[in-house]
Amino acid sequence: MSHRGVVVEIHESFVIVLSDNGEFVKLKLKRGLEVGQTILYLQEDLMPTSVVSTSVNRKWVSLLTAVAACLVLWLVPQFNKNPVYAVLSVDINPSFELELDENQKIINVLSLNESASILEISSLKGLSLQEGLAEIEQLLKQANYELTKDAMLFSLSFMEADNSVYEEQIKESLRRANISTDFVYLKVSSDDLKQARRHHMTGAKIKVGELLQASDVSQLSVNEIIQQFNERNLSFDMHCHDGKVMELNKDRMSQGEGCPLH
Amino acid sequence: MSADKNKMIQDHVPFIIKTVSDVTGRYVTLENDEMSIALLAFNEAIDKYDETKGAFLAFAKLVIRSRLLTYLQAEQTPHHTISLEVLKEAGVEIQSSWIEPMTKDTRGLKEDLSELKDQVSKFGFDFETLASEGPKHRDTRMKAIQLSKQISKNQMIILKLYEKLRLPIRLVCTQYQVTEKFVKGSKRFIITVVIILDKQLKTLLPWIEGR
Repeated sequence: MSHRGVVVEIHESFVIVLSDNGEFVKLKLKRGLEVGQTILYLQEDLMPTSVVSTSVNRKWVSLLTAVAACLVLWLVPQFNKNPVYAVLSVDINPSFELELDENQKIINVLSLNESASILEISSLKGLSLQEGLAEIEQLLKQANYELTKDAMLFSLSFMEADNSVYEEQIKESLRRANISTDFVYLKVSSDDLKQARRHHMTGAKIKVGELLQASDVSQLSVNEIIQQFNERNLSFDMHCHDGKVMELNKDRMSQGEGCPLH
Repeated sequence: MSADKNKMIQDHVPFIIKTVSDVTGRYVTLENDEMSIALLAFNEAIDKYDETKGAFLAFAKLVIRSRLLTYLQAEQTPHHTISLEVLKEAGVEIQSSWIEPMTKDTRGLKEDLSELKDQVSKFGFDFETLASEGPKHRDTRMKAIQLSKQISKNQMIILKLYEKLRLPIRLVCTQYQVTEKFVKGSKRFIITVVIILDKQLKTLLPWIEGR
C-alpha cells in the first residue's frame, strides 16, 4: 500500500506528514527531507502510534502508564532492550554505518551519502562482522571501486559505556579481514556519534574534523585525510599499510608520530 | 496488451517506490523526476524482459537502479520536468497523484503550514498530537471534515472557538445533531480543519478534501 503526503514537521527521529486523505501520520525519518515536500511513502514507513481513547478514564490511564513505566525501568536493564551495542562506520567515499549487537553481528546498516546508497549494503544485515567486511569488499569491487588506490577509514563508537575487550575484538576482525587496501581506524566517542548523525556523516569524519581543526571535512577523501594527518604529525589509533597492520601506542602518539601511510 | 501492462505498472507502484527509496536512501519526492524515471524504467523492463534474465522483479530493480543513477549523476539539482503526457507517449498511463505534487506553490505551502502550527499551538496541541490522536478510520475522518466545513460557516461557533480557545462541544452537538463521543474523539482534528478553512490556508485545502 502506497500513499502520498506533504511533510509538515521534521523531528530528530521521525517526521510528521499530512496524507492526501487528510490524515496526520508519523513516519520514520529519512535524510534530505524538507517541510512542504510532497513525498510517496509505504505502510512500512509508518511509525507505530499509541491511540488513547478519550472515553477511557484518564486516572486509569495515568495509573497504568505509571505501572508500565516502572515495569519498563525494571525490565530494560535486565533484558538490554536496545540491541545496538556499537556502531562501526566506514568511509571510502561511500560512507555508511554498521550497527552491531553485543556479539558483533550486523543488525542494521545505514547509508550516509549517495555513493553508499548505490551499494547493496542492506545485504550486510544479519552477517557477522567478519563476513560483513568480506562482503563490503565484494560490493565495492562490483561498483568498480579501485581498492588498491582508495584507502578506507573505520571508526567505532559505543552506544553507552566503552568496552575495551569488545574494541580489541573489532580491531582483530579488521586485522584478519585481509582488506586489499590501506585502512585506518579511530575510536570515536558516543557524543561524536550523536553529532555525526545530526550532520548525516560518520563519527570518524566528525573526529577527523576536530583533530584537523577543520569546519568541513565531509568532502575530503580518506587519502586526503591521511595526507593531512601526516602533514600535521597526527596519528590514527590503528592503520594498515601494504597489508601490515600497525598500532601506535599512546606514548608514541603523544610524541606526535605521524601515520607512515603514503 | 497496453491495458495489461498498465495494470501491471499500477500493481507494482509500491515496489517501484521501494526501489527508488532504496537507491536514493530517501523518500520519493514529487518535486523531481525520480518517480517518473522509475516508472519509465519499469515499463522498459517489461518490454525487455525474457526468462533468461532471471526473476522479473530482480531484473526490473536492476533497470530502475541503472536509469535512476544515470539521472541522478546528470542532474545536479533535479527538477520536475517529465509530465503525465510524456509518460503517456512512452506507454505509461498512471494517476497524476503518483508523479505530480498536490501544489507547486511550495513557498505558500510552507507559510500556510507555519500559520497552522502557530494557530493550533494556541489551542494547546501540535502536529505530533494530531498524528497520534487524530481519527484513524477514513469514514470518521471524512465525517469530521464535513462537520468542520459546517462549523467554519457558523460565525457564533467560530467566535466562541477563538475566544475560549476550545471547541464548544455541546453547542456543536446541538447544532449539528452529532454525538458528544464523536466530537470529543476528534476535537483536535476538527479544530485543525476549521482553522484551515477559516483562515483560508489554500495550499492545505486539497490535502483535507481527500483524493
